[in-house]
Amino acid sequence: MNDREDATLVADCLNGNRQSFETLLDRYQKLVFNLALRIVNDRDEAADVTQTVFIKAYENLHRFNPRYKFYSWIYRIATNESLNIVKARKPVEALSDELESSDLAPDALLGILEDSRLMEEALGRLTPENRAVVVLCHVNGLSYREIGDVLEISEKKVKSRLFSARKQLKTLLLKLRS
Amino acid sequence: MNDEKLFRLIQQEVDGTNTDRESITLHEYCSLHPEARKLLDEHRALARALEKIPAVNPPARIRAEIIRGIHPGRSPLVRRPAVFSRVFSSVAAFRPPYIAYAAAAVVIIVALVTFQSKYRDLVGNGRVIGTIGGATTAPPLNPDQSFDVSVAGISGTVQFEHDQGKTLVDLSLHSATGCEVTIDYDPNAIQFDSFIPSNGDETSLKTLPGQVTLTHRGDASYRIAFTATATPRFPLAFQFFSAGNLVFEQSEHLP
Repeated sequence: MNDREDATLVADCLNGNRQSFETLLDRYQKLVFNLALRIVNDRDEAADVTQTVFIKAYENLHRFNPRYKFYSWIYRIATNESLNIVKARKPVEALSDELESSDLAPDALLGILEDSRLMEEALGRLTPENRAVVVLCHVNGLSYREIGDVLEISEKKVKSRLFSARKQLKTLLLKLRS
Repeated sequence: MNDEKLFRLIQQEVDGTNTDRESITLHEYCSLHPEARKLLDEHRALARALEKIPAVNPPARIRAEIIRGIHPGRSPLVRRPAVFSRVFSSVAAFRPPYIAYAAAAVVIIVALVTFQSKYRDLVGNGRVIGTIGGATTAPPLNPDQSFDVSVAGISGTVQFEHDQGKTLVDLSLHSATGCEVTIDYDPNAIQFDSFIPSNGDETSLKTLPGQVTLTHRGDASYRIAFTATATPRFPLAFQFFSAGNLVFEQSEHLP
């Protein structure tokens, strides 16, 4: 993505050119939808989140600070919207201490990883905060710093959360497989 | 290597952000510790698997729904103004005729000229530069080499004494909000000797070659001593600052 081009499109839109916003919409619609989908784990809700995100972005475009990247800003809106939905739900299955300390055969992991459906299920069972970090890193390809900007946490916190998320993911995969 | 560092290096290695040195350190450690190697391999494999999760196309209806949601009435710039905003915008939209601007400019120029000539009469030998909230009166220059200051919240007296080649400057000042006084002198003709505060709420002194600066707040009196080294007569230039602005200046030729 060209940040400068995004900034120009935002400026054009603020000058009344609605077509520019449609270009931004086409550019980020799929990325926002996939970010939301991996956090809320439901297609219909992800579609609702995507719609809300772009309408909110349009109405608040004058608040966007062009010193930052447009996609960081829109991902932040998307992450917050998605996390609000997940947090409003009843907890499905919390990761118990028993599972954390389970001693399942770790060698089984490498074979399991080929099963992307299992991976998607495990991802959906991560804690919402850990899920957001993993998705922003691996699905949207953001750097630690960009993830920190989106989630408003330090880079150090991003690293530690990502490490514990992968650890949690490994345990979940082994558990789901067994 | 402690666990925290190991986890950090594994994390960075997987995400490709380790420096060359960090990468070498990690691989050396892994070659000696199989469990660390295994952890690194697992995290790499997890990262690769996560990246393989296929991207999903959003439903086609979303775009149309978003476009409908941002109809022209919901622009990022045009918002339905509240009653106050409507009144304010109509006031802001009012444009007076050019003659009104010209008349206002004339009034301002006349006021400035009157103000300046009035102050010139008041000041005498000293020069009031500006006022900041305080009453301004003329600072009379006394023949026995002392002067009063009463400008912009600074009031007090500056007196001079001469004793065996030394010149003593006694300042007694009051400034509730604080002020700064600089004394400029010719370092080839005189030298700064000493600073003696008699009493004072908050006073500090900075010295540079050719300049002494006092920062003062409240009531204080102090004595500054100079010694003549070259000529028997020398100038001292006083400048008084209030809120960072020069408000009064006075020059004295001593003795």
